[in-house]
Amino acid sequence: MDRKKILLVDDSSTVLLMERMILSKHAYEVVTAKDGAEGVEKAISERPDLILMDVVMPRMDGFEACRKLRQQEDTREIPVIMVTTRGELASVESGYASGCNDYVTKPINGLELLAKVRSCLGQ
Amino acid sequence: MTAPTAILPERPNPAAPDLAGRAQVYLHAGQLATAATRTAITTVLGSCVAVCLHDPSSGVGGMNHFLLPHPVGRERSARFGNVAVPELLDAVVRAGAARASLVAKVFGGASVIGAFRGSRNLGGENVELALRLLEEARVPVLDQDVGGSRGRKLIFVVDEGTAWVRHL
Repeated sequence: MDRKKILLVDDSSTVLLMERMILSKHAYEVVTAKDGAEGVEKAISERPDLILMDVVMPRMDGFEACRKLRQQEDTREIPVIMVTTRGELASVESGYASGCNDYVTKPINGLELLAKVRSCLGQ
Repeated sequence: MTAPTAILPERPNPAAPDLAGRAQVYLHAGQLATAATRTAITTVLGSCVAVCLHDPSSGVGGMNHFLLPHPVGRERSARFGNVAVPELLDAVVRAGAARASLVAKVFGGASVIGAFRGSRNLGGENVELALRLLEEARVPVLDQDVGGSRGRKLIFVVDEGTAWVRHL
């Protein structure tokens, strides 16, 4: 099976570490970015199979990053899972409006994250 | 049973229901809620599924919002459909619904790409499980808006048994 590449975009090193730990155990290749702007750059240069996108980040938030990804030919089709803070209904709706495909809420549950990742990757 | 379709026709999208005078509950993934008074429950679904139950005779009903069909590991909670559906059935009866009068509506189960590839599809598995458990429980499903590739915002007016869905 191809080793799928996942781009993690979050300004929290703790969240990045947690997501990396969950995904790396399951043979996914992981690359990271610390804000939306870097996330868009990495999406273009790394061509990941899937992106996990935080919402609130410096320089460029997750909504704007997702919109930019959807505007570009090279990144338009990459599935994006938005990582929202629990309780933010408006955030979830805005995430979909910006082009995300699904969402998970913090605190991240490993089983839930893996199930959604696999589903988005068609595994 | 018919598999969830990959591409849905646009569902009529009337104005959101007037929620004035109703208690409002936001349901997170893995939760369920019941109500015996004028209440609207709102949630947002991607690959998750929500089952809405309503007893027309009493106006009592409720909703769940589950993420996965079956438990993975030892955790047993309403995050999983095979726990969340029976728990919702028990909960609405405890809240005053007549078991024999219950009717259901089912929403969600979107899939980003799985539905198109014919490969494993979490949303489809969630929908299949919900419909199967409701059939086994002999609860008729009056409406469903499931599958496809888009998320949904769902508002269930519990006392009326009406559901409003907007594709996101």
